[in-house]
Amino acid sequence: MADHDMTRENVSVPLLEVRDLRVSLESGKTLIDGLDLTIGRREVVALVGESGSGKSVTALALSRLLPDALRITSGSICFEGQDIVAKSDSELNRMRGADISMLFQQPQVMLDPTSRVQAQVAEPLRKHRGLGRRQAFARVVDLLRSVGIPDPAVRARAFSYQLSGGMAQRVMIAAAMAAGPKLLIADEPTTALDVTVQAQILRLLKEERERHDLSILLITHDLSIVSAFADRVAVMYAGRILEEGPTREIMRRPAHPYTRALIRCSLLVPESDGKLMSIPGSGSQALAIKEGCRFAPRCTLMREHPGLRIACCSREPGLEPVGQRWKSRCHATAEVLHEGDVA
Amino acid sequence: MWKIILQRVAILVMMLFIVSVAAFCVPLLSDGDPARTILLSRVSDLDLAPEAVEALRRELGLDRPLPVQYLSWLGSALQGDFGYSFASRQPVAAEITRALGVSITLALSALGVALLVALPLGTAAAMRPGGKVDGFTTLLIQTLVATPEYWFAPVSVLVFVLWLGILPSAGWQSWESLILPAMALMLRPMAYFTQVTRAAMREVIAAPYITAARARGLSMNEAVVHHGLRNGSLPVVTFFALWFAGLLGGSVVIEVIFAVPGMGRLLYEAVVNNDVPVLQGGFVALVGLSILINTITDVLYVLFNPAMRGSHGH
Repeated sequence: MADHDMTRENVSVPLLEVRDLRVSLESGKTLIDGLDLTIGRREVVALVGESGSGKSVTALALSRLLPDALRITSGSICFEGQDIVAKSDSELNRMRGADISMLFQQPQVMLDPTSRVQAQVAEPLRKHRGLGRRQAFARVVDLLRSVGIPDPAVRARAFSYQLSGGMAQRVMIAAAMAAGPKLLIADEPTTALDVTVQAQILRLLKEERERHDLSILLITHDLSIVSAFADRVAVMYAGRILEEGPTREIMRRPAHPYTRALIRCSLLVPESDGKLMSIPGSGSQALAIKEGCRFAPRCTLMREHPGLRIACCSREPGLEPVGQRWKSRCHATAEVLHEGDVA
Repeated sequence: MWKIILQRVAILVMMLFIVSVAAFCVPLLSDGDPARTILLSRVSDLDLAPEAVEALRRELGLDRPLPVQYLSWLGSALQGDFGYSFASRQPVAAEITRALGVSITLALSALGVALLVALPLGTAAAMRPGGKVDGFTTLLIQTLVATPEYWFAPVSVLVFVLWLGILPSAGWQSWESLILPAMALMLRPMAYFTQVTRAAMREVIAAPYITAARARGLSMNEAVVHHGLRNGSLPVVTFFALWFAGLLGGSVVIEVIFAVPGMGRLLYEAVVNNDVPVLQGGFVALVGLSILINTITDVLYVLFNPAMRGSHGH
């Protein structure tokens, strides 16, 4: 009976639930401002946004690896019901690499240049699975083979300078998956790679997800990989989520003008005036906006509907439900949806 | 790997040739006449008979053309024969070997202790910038750098020899004679090693591969030990080599104060006495050793940093 209850609870509690997360610089400037994010079991969630929107800071905050100058000032990050924000250093060391693993943008500089591949891939096995040096090294060869590295026994003894970017990212994936984590936070894992290699790495991540019942938070600015890969998508702007929901619906007909603009930019098709779509201005100043919607200064919708101006510039909209597990932070959701399909 | 070492050795040989020419030319810079100097030191008669000087010059081969003199000098030097000291009439090679042994012992003791203090202290300071250890380290570095050795040396004699009476004041008889000069010599290298270690480790701690290692579950200390120390020690190795080469002939002040029979004092006295063979031999030995130390450092670099092997091709 107790077992039954436990199972049911495990199913109902999402794997990761971020509530009202705030991250600030020591100087007081807020970079992540009230972030809410939920990742279910075996779910792939894409976190998209322009550079400077706080995606990478979010990735580091979720695994509590923020540099000294950055602090989590409020909010909670519940992983399987336990708050990561409240964990001690030694609890975090047991969690990282075992429950939550990470991938980064430039795999080659993420590997220690003076240490062999096998030593680094073996670390989670030795730390979290208690394997000895020899056992761990033997397991490393299997892991390297499973991520599609040819000659795994040879590559195990290689140094990072002997690996291409794609190979290095495969090594990082092998290390990330070594101790069987439940969540993989992948911060722009394919951005620094050739397009063909990008596709291979994404396919590999999909395979790993199937094989290990893995949840993935994919952080990217590249919308073209979102539709092919993510179950749900969260759009980030100036430290906040502007829209969050099922990938298929959002990519077809977004409920937020910013998402709509992002998608149109990524399509690279000429607008009615023959020019490529671009969003005027930049998001880097938006963190300083205290009143109204942070996207308002760049919002074309607001410009086209002057009646919205007062509301948009004085009161920030909340993250309101649009549909099933779909939310948007806009005063004019109905008008955006009315514009129809994005492409 | 072997290719790099061979390359370095070839450069080493070429440099040594250039050094030998320079060393041979050193005495030409002074207008003293070696034959006169030798005779003076033997007879201490200021009224030297010109015939006697001329005879000695012929005997020493100083009347031959310079290139011939150089080749004959080089030929002997290659067999380890640098002639005889004008002052002591001992073989120069033996004098230099003895003095170098003393200077190497002194330099390695001073730099070794400096390194033993600097590495842990610099790393600890880098781990918590602005913390207690860091504050102490900054204070220590400033104190050490600001302490002149010619001040520290007499004061240490005052304390350890005259007041406490536990150490010998001068000379080179037992290992205890090593302590005071080594202490005086290690002040500044210790400060610089600590500073370099701290800076290198600050950079390493912020390196992406440390973050990645921590994301695999390593604690900060484990990540620094397994992935930081080797990367951070490269600049320290360079600094150690520079100081080692510098101290071999550069600890004149300390060697004179403590009457240590090292290279610094040998060369200092050779200059004072216009002792040409000792100057030539000492110059070759010191510069040659510096180049050798540099070569070894280059090879160490490759050993420490595998990526260098790649950049030079297999």
